[in-house]
Amino acid sequence: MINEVAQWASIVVVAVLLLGVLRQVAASAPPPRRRTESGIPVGKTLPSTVISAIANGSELASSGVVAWVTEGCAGCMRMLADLEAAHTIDSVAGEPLVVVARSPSEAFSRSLRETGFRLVEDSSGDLWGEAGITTTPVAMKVDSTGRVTSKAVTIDVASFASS
Amino acid sequence: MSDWALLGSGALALMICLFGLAGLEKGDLLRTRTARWHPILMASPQTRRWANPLVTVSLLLDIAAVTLLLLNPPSGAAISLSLIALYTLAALATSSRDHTQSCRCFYKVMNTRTRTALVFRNVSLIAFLTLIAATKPSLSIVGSFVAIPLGLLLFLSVRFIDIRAAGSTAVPSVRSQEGASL
Repeated sequence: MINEVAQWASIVVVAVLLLGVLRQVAASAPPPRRRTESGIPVGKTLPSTVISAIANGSELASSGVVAWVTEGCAGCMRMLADLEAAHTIDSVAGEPLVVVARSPSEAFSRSLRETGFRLVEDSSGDLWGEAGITTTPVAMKVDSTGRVTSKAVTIDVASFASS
Repeated sequence: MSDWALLGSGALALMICLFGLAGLEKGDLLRTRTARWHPILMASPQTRRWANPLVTVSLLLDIAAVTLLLLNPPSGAAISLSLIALYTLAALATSSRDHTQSCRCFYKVMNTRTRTALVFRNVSLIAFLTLIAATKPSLSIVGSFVAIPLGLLLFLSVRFIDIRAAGSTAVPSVRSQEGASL
């Protein structure tokens, strides 16, 4: 009787562990490009603090693409690797590109800078909060006034920028 | 089968699973060409430059460890122990004291964000490997069932220590934002 109960308990534990592993695998897989609720709604303007940060303390000179990334996120790693491999570091599809990294470690910041990305380090997470970013990796197209014209959860920033 | 041999058999099944997951993670890094953005390999410009060869060598060593654990557990335990010691030194050398980034270890199944949890997990794994070397077990179905509570206990302990250690970690200072503009 005890053996039977232990056997069923083991089967339940195996099932839970298997589901856990599958969940991890799914979480590690980069998300396909899809619309997202994360971030300022399309048509709205980014807060002035966010605009100031991505414009390096001044006003936006042109439209551009903002990529929101975190360290260790599989989709972000894929996005950065693809941009690096395609040598589309500071612009994609003719649009200037800025990468906003949330709470980056020293090594992550250095790697982004060494690669040549125009980087905004959001160490406190304030910019993320103000821009309403809750998922990664998010790409956002903004016009020269800071208005969000489109956004998506995607690893393929190049085709997002050219769409 | 004695209690220690049974425990050794469970540890053997657990280590095979963990090294299998580690190999899977490295295979995925190579497939997606993201090795250069792995938290541990970003530690220095040198490791970043040699990220792909380093991951390839590490993957081959993981495969060798799994194969040996299956065919000759004491030899497999010896090579696995050396690998764990090497990975521990590499991870400690590349992480900072306020390290709060995921190490993506074992396909993120046995992940740690703090040095304390990383050391605890790896010392536990070394203890399991020492047990394998001492008891010379073979893989068995009963042992596989022992691996489940063993793995679960390790997973929960690591998570607990990680959360406790992360709670006592100082908040990283705010860095200046420079060099980026649209």
